[in-house]
Amino acid sequence: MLPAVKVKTTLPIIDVKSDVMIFKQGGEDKRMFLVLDGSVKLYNEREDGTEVEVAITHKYQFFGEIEMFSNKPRTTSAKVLNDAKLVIIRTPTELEKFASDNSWLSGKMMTTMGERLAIANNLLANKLGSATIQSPAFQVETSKQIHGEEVTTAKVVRQ
Amino acid sequence: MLLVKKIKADTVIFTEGDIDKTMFIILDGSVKTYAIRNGKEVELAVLHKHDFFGEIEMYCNKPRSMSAQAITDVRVVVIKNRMQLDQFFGQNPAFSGKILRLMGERLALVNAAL
Repeated sequence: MLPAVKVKTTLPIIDVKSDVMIFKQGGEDKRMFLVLDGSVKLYNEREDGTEVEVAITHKYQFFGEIEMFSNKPRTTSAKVLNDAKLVIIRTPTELEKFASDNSWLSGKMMTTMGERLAIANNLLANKLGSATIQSPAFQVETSKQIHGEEVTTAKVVRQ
Repeated sequence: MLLVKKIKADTVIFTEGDIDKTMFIILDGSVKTYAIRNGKEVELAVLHKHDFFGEIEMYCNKPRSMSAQAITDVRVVVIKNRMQLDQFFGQNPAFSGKILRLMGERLALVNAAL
């Protein structure tokens, strides 16, 4: 149970009504959102227009963090499920400051991040058969079969 | 109180395949992480002061995916579970931001390779 401490931040906080779209799959926006109240649904949109739910984020959970750290378009859409209050985090530096100012919340945020990282790491290991990943001195060496050819898909070293 | 441990150069801190969920934050010195692939040692990273390692296993039920060895004499904070991590963050708020940011970078990187 988290203590009843108020979030300390100068970052923008928005109130968003149910059913409002926060961002759309394929979009270029890079903001990350922390839910202070309400809930937000993340989902994929299929070509036939149907929605596949990916996750529902609740109080003190966050979403949109992947795109903040990468140069990729949104992999999911996000829509408010129940009237929500959201902190908008626009850059990694803002995230760092927010977490430092709200260390009581950092453990929970890191748990969320860690669980997502463990899942992604596992998916990658399963998908590619061999994967070695470590960071902050990132190095990823992976390979997979594409049209019968072995292709190196990622190799990143410390920047 | 969190445990701060001194480790001599060349000591293996954990080995690939170990069942162990401890996370380490480096206070001094350098640590390398590596994995054995196709019978060869592949160096994954060299980590320095204020870097951390071992965090993935804290969040999953898998054995160590890599080994870690001290390159120099090192001092590390030993974090055995999420409660201790919360405690560490409470005592070191600036650190919590840095670690969260690095976790985000790692997550984006792994996702990019998916």
